[in-house]
Amino acid sequence: MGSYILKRLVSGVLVVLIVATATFMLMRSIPGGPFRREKALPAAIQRNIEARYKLNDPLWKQYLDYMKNMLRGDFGPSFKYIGRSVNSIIEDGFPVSAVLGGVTIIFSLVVGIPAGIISALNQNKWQDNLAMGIAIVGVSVPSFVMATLLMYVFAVKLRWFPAAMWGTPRHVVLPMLALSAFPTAFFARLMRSSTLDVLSQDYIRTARSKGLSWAAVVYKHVLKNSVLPIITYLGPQAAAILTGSFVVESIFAIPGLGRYYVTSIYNRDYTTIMGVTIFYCIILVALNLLVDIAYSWLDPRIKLTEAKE
Amino acid sequence: MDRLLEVTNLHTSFRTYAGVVQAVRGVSFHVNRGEAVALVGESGCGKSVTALSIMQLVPPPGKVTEGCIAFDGKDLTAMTEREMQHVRGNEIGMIFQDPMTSLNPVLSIKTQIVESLRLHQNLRGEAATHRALELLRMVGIPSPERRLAAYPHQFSGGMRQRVMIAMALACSPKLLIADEPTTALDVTIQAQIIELMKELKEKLGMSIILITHDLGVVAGLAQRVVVMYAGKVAEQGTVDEIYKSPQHPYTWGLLKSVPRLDATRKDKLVPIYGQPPDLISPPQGCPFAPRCDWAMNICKTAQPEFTTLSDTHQVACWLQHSMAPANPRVKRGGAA
Repeated sequence: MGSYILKRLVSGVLVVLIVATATFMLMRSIPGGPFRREKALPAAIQRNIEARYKLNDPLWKQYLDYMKNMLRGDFGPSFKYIGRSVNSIIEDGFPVSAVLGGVTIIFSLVVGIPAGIISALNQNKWQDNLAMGIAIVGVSVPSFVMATLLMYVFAVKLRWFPAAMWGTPRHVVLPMLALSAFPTAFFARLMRSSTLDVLSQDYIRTARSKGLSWAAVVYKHVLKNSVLPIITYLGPQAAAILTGSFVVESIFAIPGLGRYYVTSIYNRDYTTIMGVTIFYCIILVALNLLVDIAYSWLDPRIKLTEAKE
Repeated sequence: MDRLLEVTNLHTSFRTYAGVVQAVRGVSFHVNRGEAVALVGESGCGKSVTALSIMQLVPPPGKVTEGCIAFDGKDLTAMTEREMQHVRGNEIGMIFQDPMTSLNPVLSIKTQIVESLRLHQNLRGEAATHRALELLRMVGIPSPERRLAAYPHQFSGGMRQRVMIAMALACSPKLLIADEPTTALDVTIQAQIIELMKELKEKLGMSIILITHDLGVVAGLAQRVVVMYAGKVAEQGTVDEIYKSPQHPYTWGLLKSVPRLDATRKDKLVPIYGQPPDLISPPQGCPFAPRCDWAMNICKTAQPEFTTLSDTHQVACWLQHSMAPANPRVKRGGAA
């Protein structure tokens, strides 16, 4: 187990390096640059600024310098937000996004999993139809529509929650609902189909033949088997939610990390693009490792140490 | 002999989109205490559904629509789900066809055995572990101390079936229902499992219902045989009666389709041609008539009644009728 985790960490570092390299090259291959405007600056000023940020160096040298700094944990200064380092952007934005994202994931698991189980146990009855009807809405309504609707109904009309901004727990509710609509609905649908699949297995009939009640069968024999697909999906989904959503954070004016994923690109803010991408990549790699460890814990047929064969 | 189980006129049907499938259509048989009875018939003849009806575990949309299942003096069809939970696993144990899929892959053997001990006998901790070890030893699992914490995928097929038997016998049930317990196993393992069940039956004095389509398996274990066809009983009798003087053409067919060690190269296995009838609209006459080489006109229009040949031997066939043409294999009994 220990050696497996070590191996995965090494390969994780490789993945991050490859992603960093690819991002660096892709970013430089798009036209424009951080200091190019529609109205060109005087040539001398342009040269001075670019020299200041070492953009005049040959590309390979810029790449090596960047990688060296990155390995030391330094993502460099932002090109757009003068005086701020990319590290400080992440340090300020990530905790906000992570709180919102963490609450969102817990909410969608707590609501989605039971909803899926109840649907499966009442297949094609009204409980199932109701839950899956809501789930279809949750999956198909885009988050910007959901966010504005929630804001209109609960903030503007009913005045139960603040319409925007960040600070108190009450500020979390509406963006959390907007953000969790999709994962909740998705978890519910996933859980329903995997539960139905497990319910039709022979070992469920065996469990019933021992005299276990339905509740005991579901709790002891169904749950551990049917939750596996959720775990698979949870890794990448959690990485995306924890690092913030551009749409929801913009609509609710939340100072999270999400907006930097979009704004840094149209600003050609090279260091910020690199910083947030690598950060996302690290979280994704870490969560996928956690998912694999959770697998081996839930399903004894999966042995991490035998993974090399 | 004291009757442990008496199934009378059992009907079980499945309401599907295509129509009502009448899987079991008036089956009656009984099992004495300490006796092994085999339910024999080809796939789809209703033998498994009969077993699941006894357990009240017919999967939806299936339902027992008529009949009585008297077990140890109580009618199982009239019991509530809670009362049935007390019977399942405690008074009636069941083992299934495929030991590969009948054990939960993510729970250890120990958890799965202890589960029923905890439920029905309130055994916990040390006492439960002790009993689980005793059970594994009883079904012949080598070094049970080491295997107790293992998971199903770490066992071979035969060993898993032994674990299934240990689970089913955990609370010393009065009746064990074995639904094709050897079908998914190798021939050599089949013999071992049948031998084990026979041994345990004698040791524990329980009754067994053995469900199988393999008449070869039956002889090793059962005292009586119930031959089923298309949701009905075609013939029933002691093992001797069924093997030595079978009376139903379907039983003849089943016996001819069993491979024999003393067969010469010229003796080919003879299959029963044709398909069993559609149970959504079962035939008016004898369901076996379309496949029967001896079918008469009456067979297609009217159901044969049971003819009693001895205390134990009964057959539902028109060949028993006094007006039927003589057949050297038919020994007319009763007063048909």
